[in-house]
Amino acid sequence: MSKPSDLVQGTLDLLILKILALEPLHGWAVSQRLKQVSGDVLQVSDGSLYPALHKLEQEGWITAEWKTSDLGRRAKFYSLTRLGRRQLAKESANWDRLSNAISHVVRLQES
Amino acid sequence: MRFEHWLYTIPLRLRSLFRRNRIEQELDEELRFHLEQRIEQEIADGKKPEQARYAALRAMQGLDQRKEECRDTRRMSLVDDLWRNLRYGVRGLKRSPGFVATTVITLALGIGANTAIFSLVDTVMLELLPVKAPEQLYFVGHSPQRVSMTWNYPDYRAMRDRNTVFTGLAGYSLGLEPIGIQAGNATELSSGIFVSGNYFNVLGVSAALGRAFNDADDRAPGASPYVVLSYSYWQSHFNGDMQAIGRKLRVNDYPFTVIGVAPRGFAGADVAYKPDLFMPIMMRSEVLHIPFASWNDRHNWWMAAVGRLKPGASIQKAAGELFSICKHQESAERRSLANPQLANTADQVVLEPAARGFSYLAGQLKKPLSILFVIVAVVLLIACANVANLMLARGATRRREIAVRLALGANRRRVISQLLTESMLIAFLGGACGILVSLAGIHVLLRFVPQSGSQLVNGINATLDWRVLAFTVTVCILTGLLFGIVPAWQSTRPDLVRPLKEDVPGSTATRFTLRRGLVVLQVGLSLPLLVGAALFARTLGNLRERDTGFAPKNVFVASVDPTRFGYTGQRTRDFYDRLCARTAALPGVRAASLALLTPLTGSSWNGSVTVEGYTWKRGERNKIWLDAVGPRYFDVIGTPLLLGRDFTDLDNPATAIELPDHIVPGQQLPDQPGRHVAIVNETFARHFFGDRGAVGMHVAMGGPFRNSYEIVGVVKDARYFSVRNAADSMMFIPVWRRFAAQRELVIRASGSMPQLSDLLRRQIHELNPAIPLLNIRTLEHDVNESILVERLVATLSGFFGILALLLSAVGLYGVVAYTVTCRTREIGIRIAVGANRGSVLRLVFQDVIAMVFIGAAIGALVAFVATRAVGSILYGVTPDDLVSMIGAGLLLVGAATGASFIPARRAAKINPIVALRYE
Repeated sequence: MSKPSDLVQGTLDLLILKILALEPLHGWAVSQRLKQVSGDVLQVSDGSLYPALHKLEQEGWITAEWKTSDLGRRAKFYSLTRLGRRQLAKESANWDRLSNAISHVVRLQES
Repeated sequence: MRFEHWLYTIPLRLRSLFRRNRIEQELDEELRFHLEQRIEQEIADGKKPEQARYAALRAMQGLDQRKEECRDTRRMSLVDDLWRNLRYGVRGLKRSPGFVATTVITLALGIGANTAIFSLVDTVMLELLPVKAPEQLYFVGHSPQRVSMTWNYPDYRAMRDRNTVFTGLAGYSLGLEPIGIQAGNATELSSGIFVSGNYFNVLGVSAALGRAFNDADDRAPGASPYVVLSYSYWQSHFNGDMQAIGRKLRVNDYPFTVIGVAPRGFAGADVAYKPDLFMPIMMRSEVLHIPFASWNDRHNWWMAAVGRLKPGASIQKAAGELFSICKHQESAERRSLANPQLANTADQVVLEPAARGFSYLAGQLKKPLSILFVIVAVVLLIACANVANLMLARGATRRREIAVRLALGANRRRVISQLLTESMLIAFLGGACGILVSLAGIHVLLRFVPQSGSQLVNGINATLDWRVLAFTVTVCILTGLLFGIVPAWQSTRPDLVRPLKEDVPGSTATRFTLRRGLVVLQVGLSLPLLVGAALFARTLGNLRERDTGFAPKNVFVASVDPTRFGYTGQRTRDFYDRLCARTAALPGVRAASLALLTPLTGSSWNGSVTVEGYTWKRGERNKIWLDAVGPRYFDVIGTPLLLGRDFTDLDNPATAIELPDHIVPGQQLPDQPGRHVAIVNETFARHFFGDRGAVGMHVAMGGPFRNSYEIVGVVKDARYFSVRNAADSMMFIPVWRRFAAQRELVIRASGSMPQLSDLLRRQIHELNPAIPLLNIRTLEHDVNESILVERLVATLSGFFGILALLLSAVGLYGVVAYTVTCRTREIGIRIAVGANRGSVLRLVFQDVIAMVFIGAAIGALVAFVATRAVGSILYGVTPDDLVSMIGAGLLLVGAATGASFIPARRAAKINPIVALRYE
């Protein structure tokens, strides 16, 4: 099981923002969706997901609403705010820069 | 961007603040939903329900810790935490009422003492005058030996008119004049001061209603019968009527017109006195029935001068210029006098800041109040040490609880802030009770503030204003931090997680050292307070036992003033003579007499003289103290006549002298018939005549009298102006030798005060039913009033010294009791292997002796330095007085022994079998 520390600092926020950008989801669905789209590579522990969600909410990047889930249960659905979209764009760009740089380094030919 | 951020976050913050329960519920529901989903999934994967549930909880890595993390993200910590901490703190404190009571009482005493002293300091020394730009105002004084703020009118007028350094120099009469306001047949006593025309202008105060005085009101004596009312007098006597302007007011039966009302809160430049009426100086003769010549005299000192310094003018330059004006006045007077030696010498002029107003009291109380302020601060420090000690003990008993909270995921910062909130709660409870203590304390303090024996003086009015409250709140916060922060830090140290596993008393060595350190500190602070208290007590004792040169026991001084009711000249004299004769005949009265001044009232009369066969030394002031007294006066106050004879009725002129209302300065007055005789004191005789004998020699008085006085008697020195200082040269003249005015009735009687005042009232009533007995007091009262400051300091420092001692004893007791509890096992073993009671006691006392010894050594050092600062107010003892030192030390050792005796005895009684089974 991957622990939050396995994720590069700050990437959990990026992943959550990206997934919520596609559609509003509750916490459980976020964790399932993450696992699913990353082909089981990225797993967020249940323990770190909720503090992260609450932090994003307090930052004003996502907003929460209680709705009935498809299973007929009340659940807290998170969706992206305008601020959140801007933050996502910024963090994606950062990530691109970072991953490109790392790729470059990794691909250096040993002589 | 920022704004949009707030758009989302502010509602969230408010929600987390006000909807705490709802948010908690939602958090719970959200996480439960997740867990249920996870369990379902695990079951679908083939796990048994129990296993699935366990797996789900494990995946969460601690449900409560996660919840706490979620809460942490809300970050409403400041307000939110405070609220929670407060509620938690209140709950915690409710569980230990004994602890709360002890700490709150301790702090209430400490904070209350500080608030009470501060409120007095505030009124006396800090409050600014409610005038425009008070920092530009300066009092003009002069400095013969001590600085005096008293002026005569001619010199004041010269300085006012000729100076170039002030935008204006105002003058006013010192103290309050008792004034009778006539309405119908009744006379009501109120108070007034006389001010120059520019007074309000210079102070930058404009009338709340009508107009204030202006330069026109200074023009001629008797020409401006106008009065400005104080705001409170206008409220109480005119009901705040806007139509009060123009109304007539009979002041001492002279018709005045109300022209204005002073602004609210303005009571003149003299902080201690709050006059009802302001009148022009030019109306003094009309109101007080004293001739213009008398108060417009370079030898009559009755007023003060306050000026607004021009921007850029230096104080030195101003003083220099005013001095040269006074010098000029002196040479003018020399030229006008037949005997130029009688001219009034000009003194060096000094300027003192007037921003806080002038107060005789402020000058008198400044040093003692500063001393008391330091003392109460130290007492509060000792109280804090006690509370910190109790907090540490409480921290020790709570370390399990704290460890559990730390283990459950509360971070240390939060636990510390929780503990600090508790300290603050205690501090503020203590502060609130402290304010109650101080309200009582202020009344006690005010009893020591001189009220000049008359209800006419409203005196200093120390109340709890916003400054005092702000001070108290600050003190509360500081004390809360002071006694709270170290215990909070101590009891949350990470290694204290250990107590979860083990609970061995005595495993807390560092905290214990800290508690001993606090006791050492308390002892070290108490000793200087005790030494100081002893020094002040001895000072007071020395002053009390001082031979004043008179015997105040059974002597009464009564004030009656017929001149306020239209009596002048011979009528005044007859009234007093008759009253004196009737009084002497009363049952229980041994003798009665009259005097202008009695000892230690704060009033004085001095004059320039020429003494037969004596030439003044260079730089020596040609002035002596004077008094006018009747026959048998020395008998009454108990001053022995050493040589010659006492005055008789025949020494007075046959008829009373009345001065003309207006005299030109320098004009010779008619000679007074009859032989002029005087009595002088020992110092006078010794100083001017040495061994030659004073009786039969002559003294000429300055002022308008030409005849010289022949000395007929010498009396023992009496201390008229201060119990501390040896008497100066003093001369007594017969009571009616000068013009007839108010006199004091002095009586030696064996009866009680109420008895005598009843008899006296009846006598006055028979002479004239309209005239009241203004005041009657014992001479002992005046003596006591004169050493009031010393009494204040001695009483309060003694009280606070004992308080400090008690607090330290309680602190010591706590620590010793705790040691004994911690060492029960060790002591048990010692007893089991044969230690006797004595050696166990020694074991405990060794510890006590070490703490007390170190504390006392530090304290002695502090005392040595600190007492040097109070040397100037001591009398008859030196700061390093051995008796005070040893006395204080013995008291401290006694208290320490007493405090540790109970726990020590308990230690000696420890049953080894029980002790070894302990735990």
